[in-house]
Amino acid sequence: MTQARKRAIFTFLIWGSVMAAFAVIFFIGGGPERFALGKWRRVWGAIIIGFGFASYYGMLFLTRKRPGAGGVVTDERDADIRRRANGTGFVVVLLYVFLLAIFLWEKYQAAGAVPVGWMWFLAYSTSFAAYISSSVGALILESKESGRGQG
Amino acid sequence: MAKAEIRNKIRRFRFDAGEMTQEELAERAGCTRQTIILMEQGRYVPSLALAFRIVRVFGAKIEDVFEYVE
Repeated sequence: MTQARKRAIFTFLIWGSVMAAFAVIFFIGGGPERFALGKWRRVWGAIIIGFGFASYYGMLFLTRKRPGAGGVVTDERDADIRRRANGTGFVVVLLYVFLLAIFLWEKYQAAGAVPVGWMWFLAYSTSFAAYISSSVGALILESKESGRGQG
Repeated sequence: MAKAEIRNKIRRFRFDAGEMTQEELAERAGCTRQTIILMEQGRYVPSLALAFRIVRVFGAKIEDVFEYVE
């Protein structure tokens, strides 16, 4: 398994788990309307996300090329897949933020205000969407196993 | 315009070069073994730079290893 594929799998697993855990913290016990009021829910949310970043960068460190190890770890094909996956992830995040904004507008139009808890959700979930969408994109492109080099 | 295709004879050149392994070719050409596998299967077209590095390993000309088919 190439380093790129390995990292895409672990990125998806790490951030998928973090997203699921954060969703439980956010939606259970009051939902978005009460999220900003509960100190411990915000603390647990921050802990979960901090764990996610620590796991992610730990994974990058553990899957790095070892000094003195032979062979090429990433090449032009991996760079091409990463570039296309990141581009796809960028578009997915744009769409996600747009759709969530439309949803919030529809839901709270009559009330005239959006609970601040939803802003926390938007901020955190945008990170999850970015990591998950780019890793899924990379895995799909890897599975297609085709392409053309650049240049 | 008809769709163009780039074919290669990497596998044949690899065997002719003393049964060179894919791993060895990948290391000498500066790419991963996975990329060599996909090129031999015709599922990946390398960049010009990588194509030149590959033919340099075999000591051949680029038109001997790669073929442009319309």
